Amino acid sequence: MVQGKIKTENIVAALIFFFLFICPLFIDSYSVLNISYFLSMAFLSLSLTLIWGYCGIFSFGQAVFFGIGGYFYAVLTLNLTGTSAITPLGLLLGVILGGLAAWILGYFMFYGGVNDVFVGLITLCLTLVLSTFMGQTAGSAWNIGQVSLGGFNGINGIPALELGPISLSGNNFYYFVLIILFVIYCLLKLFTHSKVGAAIVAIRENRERTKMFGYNVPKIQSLVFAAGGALASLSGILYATWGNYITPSAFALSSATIPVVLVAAGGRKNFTASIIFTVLYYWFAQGLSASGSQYALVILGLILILVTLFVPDGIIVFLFHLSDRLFFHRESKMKEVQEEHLHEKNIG
Amino acid sequence: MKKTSVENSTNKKAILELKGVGKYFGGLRAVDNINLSVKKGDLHCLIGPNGAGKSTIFKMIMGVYKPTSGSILFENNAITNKRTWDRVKLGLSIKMQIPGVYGDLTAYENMKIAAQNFYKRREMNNKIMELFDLLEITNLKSKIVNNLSHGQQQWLEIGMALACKPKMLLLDEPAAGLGPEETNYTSDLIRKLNDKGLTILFIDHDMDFVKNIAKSATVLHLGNKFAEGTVDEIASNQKVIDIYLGK
Repeated sequence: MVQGKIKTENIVAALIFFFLFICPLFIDSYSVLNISYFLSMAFLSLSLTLIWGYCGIFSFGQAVFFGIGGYFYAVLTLNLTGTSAITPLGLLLGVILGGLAAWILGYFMFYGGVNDVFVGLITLCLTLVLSTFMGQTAGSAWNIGQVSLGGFNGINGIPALELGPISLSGNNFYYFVLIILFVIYCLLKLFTHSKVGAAIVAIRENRERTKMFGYNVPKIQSLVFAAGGALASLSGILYATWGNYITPSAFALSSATIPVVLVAAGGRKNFTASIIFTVLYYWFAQGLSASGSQYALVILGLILILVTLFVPDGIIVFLFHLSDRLFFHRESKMKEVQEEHLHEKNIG
Repeated sequence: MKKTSVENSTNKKAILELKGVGKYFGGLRAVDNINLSVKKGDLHCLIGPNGAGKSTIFKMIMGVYKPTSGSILFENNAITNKRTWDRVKLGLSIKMQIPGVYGDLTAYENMKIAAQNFYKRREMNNKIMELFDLLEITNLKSKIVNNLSHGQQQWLEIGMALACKPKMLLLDEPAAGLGPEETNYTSDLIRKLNDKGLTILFIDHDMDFVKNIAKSATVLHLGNKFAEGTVDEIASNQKVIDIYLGK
């Protein structure tokens, strides 16, 4: 419901996932590892698409939950190295913790009547506070169990995920991330067609009016914000296991801003667009890393300005609509005429 | 305040009661110590010039504003401290002054958002189509709401309010911005709903429109209850005529 069916989107999504499932067969393992990283970051964009694009909650705070997930996983698994099934348990608990942290923050904000730009300000402040705090955690005073938080150096040597005897590295990690992404993507698409999915769009469109249709708006907002926190936390954990490290830069201003820019530029109301634009950006940034990946940020900034000026719904969504008009317009127009005709017949 | 026969003319039970309700915004008394009782099955109008406090009363009834003083009872239960969504679930529903519809969605999707909290999935579609038929806007169901006329949006919103299974419907200026034909259609619709047993409390400025449909009315002026009675009594009340003409 609500967004309308974009035929191109469904076709493109199917082709992309098909390509991603078969690409390890013909690309080198270094590229596979890189794509795992791009896909891990896609969860962060999905979290923002859900809460901002669908529910209208503009947050700079997804980096907070990303970092919380990453740090929690690192501290837990390094403290309990050798314990069986500790890494999947760390993943699960980290996702729950991210969701819980977001729910607590959301509860106080939304039941307290904080909305719109003020949510953005509060979450931005929280990101900066955590960034500063984690940066000063060098030294033994900031050990949790056997693990030092490590100040600006962060935590290194974070164990990779293990599912029983299978260590999730290389292609295994890639497929693990891809399958989770595919499942979550499908669930999110289904969710948007559900009763709550319709309610969150209603909240985005007119919050006060939606209360008058019997919806407990702060409760729904808190739960959606929690789901967003859980997704961001999942992203942080996958990132930490991919690179085996996490640093306070996870909470830095750029980390807080990039997901917002990616989602806005790709199309904030569309999960497929967010994934595509995120993967393209990280692929592009990686490609430029030899000459300094800061260029990627400059180019991303320029793209955002142009998109905001000319295609405010996002560049990927614009391309979807353009393709729909070019290839599927005639069919949908015919259907509309048929429906009108049927209606007139019924009235007659 | 002029006392009339209406207060004692019926033995019906009150569905909504405001007891000494006041709302102050800083030093401004938007509503001051209002007592109002709406009986089951009534079609009652709140009238008064701009700034009389009509919309503020509606917002207090729906829980958007908390009264500074007094209490609100719905079916004899105090709802003064209940949240908006709980009041809707008890049977209060509203059409806002400015159409509160979801412009980017279709008329059907709008109705679905309103109805899905009150009907099971199996019966919801039938109910929505029934409401479209009642409002005679079935042909608009697939249209994007932003493309509908102001009148069509007003009727759609009345439909959405009806989709919440209301026991009492609040209509804030249902004829505002409508042409003569649309106003007639809206009058007929409101009467039709009231004939089916729905209690309706509405706000309007247009005395002709009020005379056409309301059974009784309360006049507000500067946040106070100024007069109450049948519409004919109100229309012939010289003091009411004076405040409308600004004397």
